[in-house]
Amino acid sequence: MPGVRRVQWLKRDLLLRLMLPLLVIVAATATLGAYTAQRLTDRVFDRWLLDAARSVASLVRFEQGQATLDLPPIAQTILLFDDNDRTYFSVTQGGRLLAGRKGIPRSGAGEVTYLRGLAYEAQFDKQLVRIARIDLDEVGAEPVTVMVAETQVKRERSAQELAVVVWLLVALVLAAALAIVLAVRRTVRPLETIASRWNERSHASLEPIGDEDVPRELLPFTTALNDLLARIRQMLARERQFAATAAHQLRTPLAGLQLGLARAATAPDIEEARVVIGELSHSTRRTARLVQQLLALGRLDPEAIGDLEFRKHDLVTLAQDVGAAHADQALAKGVDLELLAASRPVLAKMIPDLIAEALSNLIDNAIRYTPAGGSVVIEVLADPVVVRVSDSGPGIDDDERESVFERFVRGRSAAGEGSGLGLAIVRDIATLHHATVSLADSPWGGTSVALVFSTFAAIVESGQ
Amino acid sequence: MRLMLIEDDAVIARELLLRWRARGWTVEPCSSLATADRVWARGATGHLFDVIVLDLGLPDGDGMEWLARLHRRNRATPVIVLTARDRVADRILGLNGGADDYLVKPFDPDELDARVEALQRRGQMTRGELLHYGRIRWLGDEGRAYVDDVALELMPREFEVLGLLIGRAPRLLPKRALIDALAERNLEVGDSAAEVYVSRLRRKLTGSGATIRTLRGFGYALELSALPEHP
Repeated sequence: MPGVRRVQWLKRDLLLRLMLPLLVIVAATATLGAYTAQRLTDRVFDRWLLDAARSVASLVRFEQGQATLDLPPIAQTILLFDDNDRTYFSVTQGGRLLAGRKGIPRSGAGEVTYLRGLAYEAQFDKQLVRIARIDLDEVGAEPVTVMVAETQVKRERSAQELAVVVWLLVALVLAAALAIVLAVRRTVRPLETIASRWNERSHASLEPIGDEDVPRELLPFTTALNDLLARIRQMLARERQFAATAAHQLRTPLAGLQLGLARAATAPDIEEARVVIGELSHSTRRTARLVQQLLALGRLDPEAIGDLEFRKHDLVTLAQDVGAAHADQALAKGVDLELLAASRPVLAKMIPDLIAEALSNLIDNAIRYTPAGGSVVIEVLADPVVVRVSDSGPGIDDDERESVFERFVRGRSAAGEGSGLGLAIVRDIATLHHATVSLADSPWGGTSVALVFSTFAAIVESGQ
Repeated sequence: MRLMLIEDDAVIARELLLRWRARGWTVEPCSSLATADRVWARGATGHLFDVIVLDLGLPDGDGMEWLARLHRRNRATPVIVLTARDRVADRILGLNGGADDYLVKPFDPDELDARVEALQRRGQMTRGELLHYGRIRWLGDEGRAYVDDVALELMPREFEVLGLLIGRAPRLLPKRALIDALAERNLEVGDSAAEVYVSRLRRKLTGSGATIRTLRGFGYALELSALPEHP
């Protein structure tokens, strides 16, 4: 059936591939051998019979076209004597019997022509006999026919002996087949041993599998599997570490929420409670943002993004999409958001989702720290390939420019706002792209963060 | 306002239902896509809903697929997607996948209300109904717009641009969306021509209480000028 994948069975395939040719070869050899042997013995017996006919023929004399046979009784006895078979003979001239038995057929089935005469099979004296016939032609005389017939006991016996040989061959083939089955079983056994060893392990265990008793050809598989297990162990360890950090970071705002709720619950009047609840909704938003960034950071795990593919992507389109996603945030805050980019594409090798995440963080930070009436400018430059987000916010002091990239570190001017993860995310994504992140003073008065792609990632579209 | 709310989380559905009913809006809650299909089939003839609020992770399927199905039958009803999928890429994908707006959970309920109202306006605008924004009235059927009771002298393209801006206000109308929407109404304009219409319209709106803000490289937004303007 097309489209259906055949299940591979090592054992069955090996057996099939060994047994089928063996059987075909042996069957062909046996048939050919038996046939040849049968033919050879037939010829030998036929020649004996013809020899007998020739010795009778040598005794025929012609006198004026009249044939006579001078066969002494002792010769006849010798001719007709046989331990197993009955032998008959006849000498005729023009249908007239000169000697021997009457009525031996002159032709029959399975005729074979030899140099001096021919041999064939026919029914005579109520049994199947093999007959040798020689015709003697003498000038001026009617032809004389000499025939010697013999029953086929000897021939059958030799055929039986041949059959025994064939059966012996069959027995040998069976023995060979058995040897093959055993050999295949023994060869495949290590595979089954390994499979059961793997299956017996606890399914939660990530410990490496021992490779003693493993055939050399299978070592790559165990090694690959053990490598995979090791990677999964590392990944799990990182994941646990990350979950612990995340839980710790989330507890703080949750504790704040709990305190606020307690205060709201015991507030003397509804107006004061409303004020507290208003504050709480602010810290809920902060917590939500923290969760989003923790998740973004989690997605940056090198093992987790192993499957994502780097591909050529246009930074201008990407900046447009990501910027537009933040436009409402900027509008709501009264911040001017601008995109300065060439009208032609700027291509770079990247994982577009991640660069979008990084850019989104930069724009979000810029809008967040820029007061109403300020501006945030996104620039996409082609040579070298750079995406830069500048703002007119308060800026970051020189001595803080390194540390703000650390996780959970916030700048002094970032009064209680962000999670301290945004720039860490940007830096991780940049590193993954062999890009660098640099902080500088912005021409608009605030901070300018640039994502500079290295030559590895940048494919500048040569002005076409 | 008539809303269809497709959301399987009981708490969110209850809170939104209570909130919106208190505002006098009619809400038809659906907790699965199957229910949504039934409700939709019931009101398929005629204009039943102003806005559809759609959650993405539903027990019987993906909201985006339902949205694609809906769009094969009906494009007129605006859809806002609510989701916990927070990746920037998801957000962009959602908007390109046919949602008219996209809000990530957890969200500010006031913001959701504002966006639902904006979507309602956009739907009304598409159907040529009367739009109100601040002191501006926009009458799609008549092709006329008024500030209070004074008619604005607008060229056809300026009139359409105003409608599109009101449909999105106070949020961003991407330049691309503006040009595409004009082309759909057989009013093709080029990139720079669009800027000309917007700046003419901006002049004509002086003193209307609303201003057009340009987000260079992105598009335009119509804002009520309660705040002092920032050039």
